[in-house]
Formats: sequence, structure tokens, C-alpha cells
Amino acid sequence: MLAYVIRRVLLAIPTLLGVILVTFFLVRVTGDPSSFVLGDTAPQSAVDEFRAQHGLDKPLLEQLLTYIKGILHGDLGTSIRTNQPVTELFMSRLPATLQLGLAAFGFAIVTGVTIGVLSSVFRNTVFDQIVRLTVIIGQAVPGFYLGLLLIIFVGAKLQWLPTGGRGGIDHLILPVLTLSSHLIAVIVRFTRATMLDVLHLDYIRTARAKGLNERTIIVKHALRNVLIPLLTLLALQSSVLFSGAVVTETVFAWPGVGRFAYDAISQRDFPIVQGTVLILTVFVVLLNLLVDVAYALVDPRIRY
Amino acid sequence: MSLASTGSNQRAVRGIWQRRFQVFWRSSVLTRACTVGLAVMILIALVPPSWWPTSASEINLLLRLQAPGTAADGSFHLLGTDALGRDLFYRVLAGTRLTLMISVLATLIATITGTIAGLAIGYFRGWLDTILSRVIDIMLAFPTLLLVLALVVAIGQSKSTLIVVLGVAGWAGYTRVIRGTVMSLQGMEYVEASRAVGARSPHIIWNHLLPNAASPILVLSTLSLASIVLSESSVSFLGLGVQPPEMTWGGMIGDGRSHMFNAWWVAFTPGLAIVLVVLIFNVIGDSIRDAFDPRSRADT
Repeated sequence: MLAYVIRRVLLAIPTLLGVILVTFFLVRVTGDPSSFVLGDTAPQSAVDEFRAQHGLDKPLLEQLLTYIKGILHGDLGTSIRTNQPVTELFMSRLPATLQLGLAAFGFAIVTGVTIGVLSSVFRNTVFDQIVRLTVIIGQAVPGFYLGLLLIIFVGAKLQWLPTGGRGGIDHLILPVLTLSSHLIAVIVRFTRATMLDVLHLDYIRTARAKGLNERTIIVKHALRNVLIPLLTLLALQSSVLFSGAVVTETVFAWPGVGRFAYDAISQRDFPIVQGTVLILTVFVVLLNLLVDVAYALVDPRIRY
Repeated sequence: MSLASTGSNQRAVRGIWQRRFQVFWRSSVLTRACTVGLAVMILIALVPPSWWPTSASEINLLLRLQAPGTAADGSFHLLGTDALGRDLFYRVLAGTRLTLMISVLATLIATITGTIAGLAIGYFRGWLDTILSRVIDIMLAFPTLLLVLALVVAIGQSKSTLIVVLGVAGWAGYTRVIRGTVMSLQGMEYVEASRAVGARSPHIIWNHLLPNAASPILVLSTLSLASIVLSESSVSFLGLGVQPPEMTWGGMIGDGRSHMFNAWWVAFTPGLAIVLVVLIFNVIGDSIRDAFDPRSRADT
């Protein structure tokens, strides 16, 4: 047991190193940042000074080591445009994204699992058919398009809800719907399929034979075994959710990390892009690690 | 003798594919509708840009942001006009070509690189497998859209950059699946038999492993075509895709965004086209999977 956990944690280390390497070279492929910060006509002395200031005149390996050392000290460099530390800028945007992301995740899990279970219990009824069709359509609608439609029709035409910015609960509703729509479709599909598999198994038949009522069988026996693999799916989906946050936050002018990263990309402020991608990816890796370990703790059958 | 056996072999293979197609075709009305839809879409994409009416590309500021129906000058625009007075119906049809071209080429890159890598590490294993499996973990953990946006801006916005970046961002999923398929095929008797009679690795990979991995590859590429259409439209929507006058649907929605409060139809129509295309690819992908692998059927 302990050996598995240790093995799994050790395996995450090369992955994290890889993430650091990729983000490091992501910025290096863009060429010399001095040319687009100072312009092409800058005198050589200014270029040299800029390069020295940002450590770009050092050998590549030394730059990489400095980068890794910085990361270990929580230093992700400074913005090229404003000279503020990336970590500080990122942390100031994080609460908005956490609020949006957690709300979307929570909403998606509750609605997705409920609809998925009902759809499997009432299999092949009209309800089930409608759910399946909605799921197929839901997976095909791009987040930004749904966001725009909600803004146009629910926000502007009906004037029911605000169309952008961060504020009270009412500001949260449309962005959460936008961000969670795809995840809901994925969860419904997964829950339905897994429930249908589980409902055929012997222990469910035994539970029925014992005369348990159907509700107990569904909730206590079947659903519990669906929730464990669902956890893995959700951990894997977390990186998809960050991609969705970039689009959703941009459409709804939500002051979070996704919009921050998009703005940095369009302004070519690469230290910010580098830092944001690094933090988000490390988060996803650690989350997956956590789920795998938790999985092994909960389910004694899992051994590698 | 060996020629005759090859002939009967080919007939048998053809029979399998025929049967698979029949199962696919009979699976549901939705599948058949989507297959017909796909055929129509391909035809629309094949129309050369110059064949579309000039109202699709010609700027006419007198007709800007006309609502669907008959415009101020009496001309008819089924889906209205955009901010430069261009007919949206023909613009969306004309946009099919570039949207599909970028997505198909990107999917091809992802499929080919992903399949080669998956066959190689699934068959040979060893240190290459250890390293590439880590790389796949890393790729799958990255927020893909951010990576694509950053690379497109870094390398320089153009059609070819977009195709390559979207393709490169997508190979990891293939490699993981093909690797698994190859590893499970390795234990099959026909692979062992082939090895026992002295067949070399390239022969085994080409003649035994690749054909048997064909169905997961086909399913994956159809489904990843759908997700690449979504990624491409997100990138273009955010203004970092192909540059005007060339246009994909995502870019049209991005244009429509600035007029969404007074002219909702500008963003509405291209979005509908995206939904339709992604829906078609998803349904076809699912049906192919059901036809090839009855065990995977989600509704049984």
C-alpha cells in the first residue's frame, strides 16, 4: 500500500520536471523578448541592458537552473510590461477563478449525476431519450457560443441577469452555466453508462432478492460504485475546465486567471503566460495524483 | 498457393468491413441523418471560394447589419448581413471550406504522429515507452487551449501554424490508446505465430498490429475531429486564428460579438454551423465505435 503511494508520488516528479521544461522552452521559442518590448529600433546598449536585467545573456542551462531555483522559492519572474511579480498578479486573480470553477464543478456534479442516474433508471423512456439527445447537443456547443447566446437572450433581451463582471450571486449564474455545460454532458453520459453496467451486476441482483427497496439499491449500492470512477474522470476534466475558463472569463469579463492569461498572451507578456500555465498544470498533476492515491486508499483491489 | 490465400484473406477482410458498415448504417436514424449531413458538408466545402455569390465577400456598407429577411434595398438575405454588409448565409457556407480544412489537416497530423508513436512504444516498450508515457502525462495535464494560444502567438499567426499547433496538441490521446491496443494484441496467437515463423518487427507491426488497431484509430480521429473543430473555433473566436479576409466560423462569431446587442444574428448563424458539424462528427464517431465493438455500446 505505502509502496504504491510512494511509487506514485515519485512518478509525479519527472512529470513536474517535464512541465517545468516545457514552460521554459515555450518562452524560448518566441525568440528574444527584447525586440518586442523595446522595438526593433532600440540601441544595442538598451538591448544588452535588457538582456542582462532578465538574465538572457547567460547560457541556456544556467537560465534553466535559475528558473527552477526561482520556482522552488515561489518566484515565477516578473511581468515584462509592468515589472510586477507574476506570483503576486496570479494570486490576485485566483479567487475569482476559484469561485467560478468550484461553482461550475459543484453545479455540474449535482445536475450531471442526478440526471445521469435518473436517465439510467428510466432507461429508454421518453425522458431518457430527451436526456440523450440533449447530451449529444450539449457536447457540441462551444462554450463561448453558449455564453454569447446567454448574454444576448437572457441578459440583454430578457434583462434577467447581468451580462458581465464579478459581483453577487446573480453575476455568477450565466458564467457558471457556460463553463459547466460541457462538463454536465460528460458527467451525465458517464454516470448513465456506468450505472447501466453496475445495475447488471450480481450484488444488485442479490440486493433486489433480499427485498431492499429500489431507492436504497440505486443510491446505496449502485451509485456508490459509480462515484469512484467518476472522481478520476473529474480530475482528468480539471485541465479541460481551465481551457474553458479562458473562454468563459473572456466572454463574461470575469477578472480571473483565464482572462489574465489570455490578456498576457495577446500582449506577448510571456513570463505571465509561463507562470500561469505552470501553476495550472502543476495543479492538475497534483490533483490527479491525489485522486489516484485516494483511490488506492479507498479501494483495496487497486495495486500496481 | 500463397496468392490464392491472400485473395481469400482480402475477401474476408472486405466482408468484415462491409458488415461493420451495415451495423453502423442501421444503428439509428440520427446516425444516417448525420452521415448524409457529412456528405452535404463535404460537398459544400469542395465548392471553390469564387463560386459563391459576390455578396458573401463584397463589402457593402449600405447594407450593414441587416436583419434576416429582405434588406433596405430590397435584396433578400436569409440570415441577414454582417457589420460590413456581407450576406451571412453565403459567408457561413463559404467558411465551411477553411474551417474543415484546418480541422481535417490538424487531425491528420495528430492521427499520424500519435499512431506511429503508439505503435512504436506499444511494440518495443523499453526506455522510449517510459519517457513517452511521461510526456503524454504532461501533455494531457496542460490546459490545451492556453498552450495552443501561446504557441500560435509565439510562432506567428497563420493557417499553417494553427494546423500544426492544433495537430501537435492532439497526438497524446492517440498514442495512449494505440499503445494500449498494441499491448493487448501482442499476446494474440497470430502475433506469436508470426513471430515464431521468423517474421520481422516491421512486418508484424504493418500486417498484424496496424490493421487490428484500425478501428480505434478511426473512432479516435472522428471524435478528435469534433474536438479540434471546437478548439479551432475557440482560438479564432479569441482573435488569434486565421486573419481576415480569410475566415472560419469561430472568427465570424468573434466579429459578431461586438454587435451582439444590436445584431444578434451575426454571431448566431456561424455558431449554429459549428454545433452542427461537431454534432455530426460526435454521432458518427460514437456509431462507428458501436459498430466495431459491440461491447462498448453505451446503451446496452
